[in-house]
Amino acid sequence: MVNGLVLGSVYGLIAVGYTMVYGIIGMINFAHGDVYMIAAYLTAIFLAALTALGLHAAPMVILLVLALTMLVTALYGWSVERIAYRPLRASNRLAPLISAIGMSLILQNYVRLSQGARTQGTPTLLDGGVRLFENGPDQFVQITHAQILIVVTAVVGMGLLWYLIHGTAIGRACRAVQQDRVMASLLGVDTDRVISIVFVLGAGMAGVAGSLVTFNYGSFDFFIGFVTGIKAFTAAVLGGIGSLPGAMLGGVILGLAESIFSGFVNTDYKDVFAFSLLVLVLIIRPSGLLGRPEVEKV
Amino acid sequence: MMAIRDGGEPEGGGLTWATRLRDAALTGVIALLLFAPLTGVTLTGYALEGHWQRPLWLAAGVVVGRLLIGLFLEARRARPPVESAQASEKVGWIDRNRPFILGLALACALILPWFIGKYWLNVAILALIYVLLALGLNIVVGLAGLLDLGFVAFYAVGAYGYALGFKYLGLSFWLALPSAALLAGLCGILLGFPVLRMHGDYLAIVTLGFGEIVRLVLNNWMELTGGPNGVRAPFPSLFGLEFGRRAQPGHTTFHEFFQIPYSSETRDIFFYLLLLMVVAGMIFVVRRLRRMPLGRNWEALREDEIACRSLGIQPVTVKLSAFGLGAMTGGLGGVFFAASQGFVNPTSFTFMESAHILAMVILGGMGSTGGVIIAAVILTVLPEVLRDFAEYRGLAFGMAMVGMMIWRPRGLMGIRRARFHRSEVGR
Amino acid sequence: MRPPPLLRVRDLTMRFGGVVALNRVGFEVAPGSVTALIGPNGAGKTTVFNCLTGFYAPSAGEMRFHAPDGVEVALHDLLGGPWRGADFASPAAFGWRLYYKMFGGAALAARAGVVRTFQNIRLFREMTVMENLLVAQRAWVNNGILSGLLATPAYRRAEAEAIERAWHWLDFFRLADDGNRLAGSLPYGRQRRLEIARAMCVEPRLLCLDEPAAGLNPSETHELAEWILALRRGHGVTVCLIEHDMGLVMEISDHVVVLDHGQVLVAGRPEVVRDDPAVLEAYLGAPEEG
Repeated sequence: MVNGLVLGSVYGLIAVGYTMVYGIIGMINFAHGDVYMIAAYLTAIFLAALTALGLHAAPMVILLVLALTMLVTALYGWSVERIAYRPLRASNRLAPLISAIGMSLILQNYVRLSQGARTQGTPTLLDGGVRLFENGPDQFVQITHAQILIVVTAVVGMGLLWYLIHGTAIGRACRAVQQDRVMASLLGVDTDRVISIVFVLGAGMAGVAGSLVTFNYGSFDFFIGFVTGIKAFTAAVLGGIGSLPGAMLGGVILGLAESIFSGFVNTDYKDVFAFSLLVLVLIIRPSGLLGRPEVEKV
Repeated sequence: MMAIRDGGEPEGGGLTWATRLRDAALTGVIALLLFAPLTGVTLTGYALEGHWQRPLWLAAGVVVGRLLIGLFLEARRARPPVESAQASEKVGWIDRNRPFILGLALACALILPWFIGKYWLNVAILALIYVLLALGLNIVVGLAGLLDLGFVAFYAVGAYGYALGFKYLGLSFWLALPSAALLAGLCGILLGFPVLRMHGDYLAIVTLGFGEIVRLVLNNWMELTGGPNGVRAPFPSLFGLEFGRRAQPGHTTFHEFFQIPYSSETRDIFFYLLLLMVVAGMIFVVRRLRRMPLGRNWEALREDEIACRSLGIQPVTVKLSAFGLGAMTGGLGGVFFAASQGFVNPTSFTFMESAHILAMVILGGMGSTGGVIIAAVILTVLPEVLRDFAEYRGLAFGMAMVGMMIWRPRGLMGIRRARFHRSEVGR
Repeated sequence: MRPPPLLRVRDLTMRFGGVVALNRVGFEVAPGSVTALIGPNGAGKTTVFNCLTGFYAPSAGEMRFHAPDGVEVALHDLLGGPWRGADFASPAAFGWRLYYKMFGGAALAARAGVVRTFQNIRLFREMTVMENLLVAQRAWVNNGILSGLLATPAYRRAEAEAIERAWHWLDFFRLADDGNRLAGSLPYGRQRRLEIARAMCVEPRLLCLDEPAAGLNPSETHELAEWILALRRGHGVTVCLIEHDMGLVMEISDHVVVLDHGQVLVAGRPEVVRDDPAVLEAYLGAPEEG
C-alpha cells in the first residue's frame, strides 16, 4: 500500500506535465517521460558533485539537488517546446506529434551516448524509517524516510502548482489560453509565452519526480522515461486529462492498482496491466474521472 | 528567452549582425547550461569523471547552427514564395521516363544477388523486409493518417505466427505465409475496433501501449513462446526441395536435385528472389490502391473525417481496412524476418523498431510509395556502410524526424498525384 | 394539389448539458424548393443542419425525409439512441445499437440523399480537385478491391463514368481548369464552389448549404444564386440553406424560416418574413437587414 502511494505520487507529478500541456495545446508531449529520465541523471550527477565538494548534510543536499535539477529540467522542457512544437504551431496535428517522438529519441540517445548505456546508481541518502502499527518484532509496516519525503514533496509541489495556476497572473493567463487560445491572444495574452511556461512547469514537476525516485530507488538507465512516461500518461488520462487534481488522483489510483496487482497477481505482467488499463480507460471513458466529456465539433 | 523568440521570427527587413550575434550567444549560453551537467561529467559508479571540453564543443556547434539557420531563414523569406501549384503542374524527367526507370530498377534488383556476396546479400534481404514493413506502415500512417506507434506488434504476430505455427502445428513456410499474414491482418482489425473513435495523439499512445503489451506477453509467457530465449523458425523449401547441406530423411536438397555444388549462398539468393517477388507484388497493390476508391478514401479520411462522413463514406470500414491491410503487410514482413533469421525472440520487436519503421515512412514522405521504398533501403544499408557511427543511429533518426517535420513535412521526394485528362469522346 | 413535403421536421429539440440549443423547432421543405434558414448568430441554424445530416442525435423530436420514390427515412434515428441497460440483455438490440454506433449517422444521411456543405470549408486539401470529386462518388466503391486491383472491364467502365461525372460538375461550376490542382491551393471562392460540386457528386436529393456565400464578393454571390437556381431547375435538387446575406436569401428562396434562440420565430414567403416586425426586432442593429 505504501509503495503504491509512493509510486502514485511520482506518477502524479509526471502526469501533471502531460495534463497541463494537453490542456493548453491539445497534444501529448511525447518527450515528457524522457525529461523525467534526464532528471534522474541530473540528480545523480548533482549529488555526486555536491558530495565531491564536501557537502554532507542530508536536508541541505536534498534541497540543493532538487532546486538545481528542477532548474535544468525546466530548461530542457523549454527547449523541447522551442524545437519540436513552436515551429509547427501552424501545421497539422500529426507533425508536432512526430517531431515530439523524434525529440524523445534524441533525448534518449543523447543520454545514452554521453552517459553510457549501463544502469546507473546513487548511494542512498536517507536511511532508516518509521515503523507503524508495530505488533511485535516481525509484524510492522515500515515506511522509509525517503518514502515520506516523496509523498510530502509531491503534495507540497502540487500545492504550489495549484497556487500558481489559480492564484497568480501567469496562472490566469494559462487558464485563459486553455479556454480559448485565439480569444486569449486577441486580448493581449502572449500565448507562445504561456505555452512555454506550461512546458517549463511540467518539466519542473517531472524534474522533482525524477529526483525523488532517484533518492528512493537509486538506480536508473536511459530507458526509464519510456515506460514511466506511458504510465504517467495513463494516470493523467485516468484522472481526466486537463485537470490538475485529476492527474494526482489518477497517479495515486494507478500506483495503488499497480502495486496491488504485482503484489497479489503477477509481477511480470504489471506493465501489461498498466498499459491495458490505459487502453481500457481510453475506450470506455476517454474523459477520465474528473474530466468533462467533449462534444464533437462539426 | 525573449530575444531568441524575436530573433527567430524577424518582422520585415533584415537583422543587424549585433542582434544575430546576441541571439546566437544567448542560445549558446542556454545550450551550455543544458549540455554541461550531462555531457560534461560522466557517472562512474558513485563518482564523476570530467569531460569539460564536450559541452563547450556542443554549445559552439549549436551557436554556429543557430546563426546559419537564422541566416538561411532570412534568405528564404527574402525570396518570393514559390508557387506550389505551378510547381506541381510540371511533369519532371523522372515522371516521363517512369516505366523505363522502374524496369531498370527491377532488373538491377533481379541480378543484384549474384554480385554482392553473402554479407551484403543478407543486408539486401533485410532491406527488402523493411521495404515491406514500411509499405505496410505507410498505408496506415501515410495514407490513412492514423499514427500507429505499435506497428511492430503485427510484425511480431507474423514472425511468431510462423515460428509457433511450425513448432505446434507443423506449418510449413508456404502455409504460414498467407495464414500468418491473415492472422496479423485480423489482429490489425481487432486492434482497430477500440481505437476507431480516437484521433491523433490518443491513437498514437494506445497503439504504442498495444505494441508494448504484445512484446511483454511474448517475453513473459515462457510456456508458449519460450520467453527471451525465442523460438526456432525453419528456412523455407522450394517445392519440397530443401536448402540445407543434407536433406532430412525423405527429402531432397536443392543442390542434389539440380546437380550443382552446395553453397549456402544459393539458399540466400532463392530467399532474396522470393522476397523480391512479394515486395514487387506489394508495390503493385499499393500503387493500384492509391488510384482506387479505397485508397482515395484513406487519404480523404486523413484530410477530413467529418467531410468524409458528410459524403456517405463510413469511416469505420475505411479505417479498419487500412489497419487490416497495413497489419497484413507487417505480418508478411514478420514471416520473412523469422525465416531469414532462423529464430525469433522478443528483442526484435521493441518500440525502437516501430520508431525505425516510422522514420522510414516519414523520411520517404508520408504517402509517397517510391519515397518510402527508397528511405527503407537507405536507412537499412546506410548504417551497415557507416558501421563506426552505428552508435549515433538513434540520435540521427530523432533529429531527422524533427528536422523533416519542420522543414519538409511532406518528405524529401514530394508526392506525385494521379492526373486526369478529359477523354476525347463524350463530354 | 400540394405535393407532400420532402422533409418534415417536428418538435426538434437539442440539449447540450443544460443548454437548450434547439427548442421544438418545426418546419417543412417542399420538394424542388429553396428553403432558407436565417437568424442571428447563435440562433441554432447550424445545429439544425447537424441534426439533419446525422452528426448530432437530437434530444427529442422527429425529422422525416420522404424521398420522391416513396422511401421514407427517419433522420432522427440515424445515430441510434444512447446505450440503455436493456440493450445488454437482448442480443438483437445490442447488435442494432452497436451497428448504429459504428455505421450510423452522417454517412447514412448522405446515402439517403441528404448532403451538406460546411460553414468552414472542409475540402480534402492535399488531394487534387478531381480526387475530391471522385471520393464523393460512392457508387464506384462498391466494385470491390479485387476487381479494382485487376482492373476488370466493369471496374474500368465505372471509373470512366465517375471521371466523366466529375468533369461534368467541374464544367458546371467553371472549375475545369483547376482539375489537377491541389484543392487547398485554390482561391477561397473556388474552394466554396468545389465544396458544392463535391456535394453534387453524391447525387443529393436535399442539398444543405451552410453559409455558401460567406466571404464571397457581390459578383461571386450573384453567380452562386444562379447556380443554385440552375441546380434546382435542371437537376431536381431541393436546397436548404443557411445564409446571412439577405439579398441572396430574398432573391432565391421560396420559403424562409427564421430561427432565434433555438426557436422558430416566423416562417413563410420571403416578402412576408421580411416585413415581419418580430424578425426586425430579432435582427435589430444587424447591418444585413436592408
